[in-house]
Amino acid sequence: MTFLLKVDNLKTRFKTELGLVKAVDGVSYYMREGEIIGLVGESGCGKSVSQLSVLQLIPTPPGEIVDGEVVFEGCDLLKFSANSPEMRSIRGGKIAMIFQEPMTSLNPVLTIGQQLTEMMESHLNMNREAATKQAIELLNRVSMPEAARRIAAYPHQLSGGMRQRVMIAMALSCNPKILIADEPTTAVDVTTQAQLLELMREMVVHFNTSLMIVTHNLGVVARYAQRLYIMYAGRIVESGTTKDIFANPRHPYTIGLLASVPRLDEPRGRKLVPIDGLPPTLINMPPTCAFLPRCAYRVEKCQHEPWPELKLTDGQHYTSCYVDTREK
Amino acid sequence: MTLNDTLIEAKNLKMYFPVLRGVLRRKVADVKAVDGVSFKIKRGETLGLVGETGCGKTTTGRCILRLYRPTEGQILFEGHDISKLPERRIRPRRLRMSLIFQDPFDSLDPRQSAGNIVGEPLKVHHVVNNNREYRARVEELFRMVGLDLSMRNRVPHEFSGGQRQRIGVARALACSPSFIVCDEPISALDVSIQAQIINLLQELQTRLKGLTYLFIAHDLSIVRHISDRVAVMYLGRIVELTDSLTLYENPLHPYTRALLSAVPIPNPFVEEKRERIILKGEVPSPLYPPDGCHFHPRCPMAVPECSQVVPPLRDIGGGHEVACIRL
Amino acid sequence: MIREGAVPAGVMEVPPPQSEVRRIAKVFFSRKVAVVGLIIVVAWVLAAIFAPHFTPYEPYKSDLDNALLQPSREHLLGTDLIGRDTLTRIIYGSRIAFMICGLAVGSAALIGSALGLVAAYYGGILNMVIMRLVDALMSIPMIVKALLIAALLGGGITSIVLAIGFVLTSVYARLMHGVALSVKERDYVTAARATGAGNLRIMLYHILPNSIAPLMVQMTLQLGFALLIEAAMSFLGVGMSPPAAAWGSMISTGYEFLISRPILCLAPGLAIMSLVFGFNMIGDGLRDALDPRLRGTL
Repeated sequence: MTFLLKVDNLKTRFKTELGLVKAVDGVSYYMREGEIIGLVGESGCGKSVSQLSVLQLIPTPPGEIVDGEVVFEGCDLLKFSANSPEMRSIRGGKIAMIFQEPMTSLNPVLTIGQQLTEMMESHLNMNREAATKQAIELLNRVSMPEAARRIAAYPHQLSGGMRQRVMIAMALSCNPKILIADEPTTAVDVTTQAQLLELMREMVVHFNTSLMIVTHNLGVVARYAQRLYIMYAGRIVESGTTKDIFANPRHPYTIGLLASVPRLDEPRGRKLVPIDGLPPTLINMPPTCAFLPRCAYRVEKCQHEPWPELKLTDGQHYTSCYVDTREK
Repeated sequence: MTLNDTLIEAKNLKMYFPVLRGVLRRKVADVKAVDGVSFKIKRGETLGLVGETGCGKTTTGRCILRLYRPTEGQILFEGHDISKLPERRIRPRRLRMSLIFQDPFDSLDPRQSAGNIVGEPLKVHHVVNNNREYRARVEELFRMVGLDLSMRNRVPHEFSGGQRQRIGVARALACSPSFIVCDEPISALDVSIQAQIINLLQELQTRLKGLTYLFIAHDLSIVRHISDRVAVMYLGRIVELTDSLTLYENPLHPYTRALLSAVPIPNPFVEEKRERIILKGEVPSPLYPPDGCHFHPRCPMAVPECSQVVPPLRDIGGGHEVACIRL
Repeated sequence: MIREGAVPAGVMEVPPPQSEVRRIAKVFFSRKVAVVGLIIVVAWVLAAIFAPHFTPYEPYKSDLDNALLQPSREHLLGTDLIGRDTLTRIIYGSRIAFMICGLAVGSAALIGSALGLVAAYYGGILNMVIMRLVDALMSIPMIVKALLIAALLGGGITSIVLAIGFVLTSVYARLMHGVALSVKERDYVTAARATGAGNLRIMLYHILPNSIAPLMVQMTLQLGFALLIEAAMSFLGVGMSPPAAAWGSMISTGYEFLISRPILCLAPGLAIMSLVFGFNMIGDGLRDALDPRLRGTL
């Protein structure tokens, strides 16, 4: 089967005062057309960095993409340098990204109309008039109230939810093949979150765009994503279809996460089982499994062997663990 | 001190913040952060307060602790109205009420050691008689929240987020309060750490008989888990108030129902089949709240009368209170 | 009881704590200019403390037979109008310099910060009154202010210290006011209020320590400034009067011999310059070292 995007063994590192941080340490995944994928993990696990690496938006003095392939529509993007015309046409054009904090990703001194048209003029070679008309059309599509008036507004005049819509409109303006939403729901309320996610899903269906949702919220991916990748300390520890992973979680981290969050569909008194310990710092990590100190399933083997590779367990379900957690 | 007597009562609480413009600082409008809120909390109970941005839940929590002077209304603590008392009359009561903050980074003085932060309330209220007792109590508090004693001399930035929150909890417990307002205590923590703190708060309530919580959060799953009763707020008013079981199984107010349907459940099989109520529009600014029922512009059940009448919070049976004229 | 976890608390997530003082020192000493400045100031401090040991002569004893001598082996910087050894007077002058600068800056910082802190904390009318007063004072040229106070109080060290202090106060008031305003809004201050801490405790224990860093930088920079004001005042005749061995007044008395014995002006001038330079470089280094970016977590 042909993949729209195939990332293979991506590695990104940062040199810091305190040591080498392997933010992304051998991440592989794929996306097909029209799919919604979830990349799940907590802060510091490398999920955002991995997506920024795909778009080569990593600041390169401290950071560096040191290995891997990012094959988009058959072509390895890592062959091109970050500032090359090829990458610049991909960013925003073919692969678009929406960030968590819309206030800092929108230019405060330009109106949203200007920011929208700028994108279309540069990627689609439209003239100002056509771009403006298209911009209003887009804003309407993302349910921005009074789009024709709002097009002259500045970011600070809009609410958080509206700014997110502008970001979505900008991201979709050039009909990208892939939309990456980096923690799209963290800065907004639950009801706005529902609106935005529904909107993104509609856009996916309408334009046949693929969507990558990067988040720590298990509920969001349960609702929207078809396939999941669970990340921990720079690597993918479990992957598979959403249903499979929730029905039969295999990796101790996934199991731990699911047991530690309260949910509306279970009885109220269920005791939450937290994951012991703290997330790692990623500096000078030992070669063994990064989850080992917190793992409730660990065995002798885990102390000596290096971090296990992802292994197929059944169907499309992969996990990187030496232990068969079904037995406990 | 009997369990189940009313410890806290808010009666028609209002908190308006004036908007001042111009050189002469003239008032041009009011931000109606809290616009007529009433509830009771029994000793030993946990009341959850949920709502989205701008609903006034944080302001309500701070009003109850008299960190603001309410514009109108009454706050009864242990039966006494503290809403209009001057600060010096409130101060002696402060050791029986405390606050846990959302931001574990900002709520601890960066220049003080953890031990000093935890022990400060002891000094302020002269609860201990000498240094030995002080140290003993600080140690006891550290143990209660699961912090390593050897870290008492470290400063906040040397702790992780979860540990800092534990310091905040220890500080809140210092003078053995009967009432703690937990203002989004876990929203700023990683998912895998949140459960640790929730469990800690629940265990403390079991161990320390009579400890009462007002638990403010926007995460409905967490609130359901920890609260006995839940109040849902929208734009400064309570729209529904009932015990947690009923709220989640039989929500009546249209806003509550929309809110619940918007909460994603980590179960794709359940999610597939769920009804989704997507509200139109956004939460209006508390500067210009809609007339009558604040929710009517977005309400799927609204009728013309809704914009003219402010729906009172009525008990419709079994302690289930709803503010809607259509019910 | 809930344990934090299998791993001892604090080991996994946070790297071994580096003492903040060490971190500040590390940044400070990495700036070469700051180190040079520090050396200069320390040298002068030692000179001030151990003056009698360094100097072969008395700073105030006149010796008319040896007046206005050129620099020589006996008098490395020559002698002045009434035969006093210039080098000796320069070294003793450092005592006066430090005393005046230290006291002036210290008292200005104390009073200015107190005003700014109180104004910021209480807000309202008190804030308006204090800050407008400060603004008004700042608009008067500093020499005018200094001269006014000095004239009112007569000469002598007290009046100079007060005059210079008066000039410098506004800056601290403004600075502290700005910082205190933002610190006041932090959660930990609210936490202290919720605990029931009194106003004084909150101001002194919580707001002040967290507002001090920019003040410290300002203080070191102002030491040099204070010295310059003192020199100007002495030169104009309202500062330390002769026979005091103050650098400024040495320039003033040596002025008439600018052509014939330039060393009489040059020496104190260079002394002032070097000390001011030293203070400024330390101030710059401190500013970099105390930069909030470098404090706090990884």
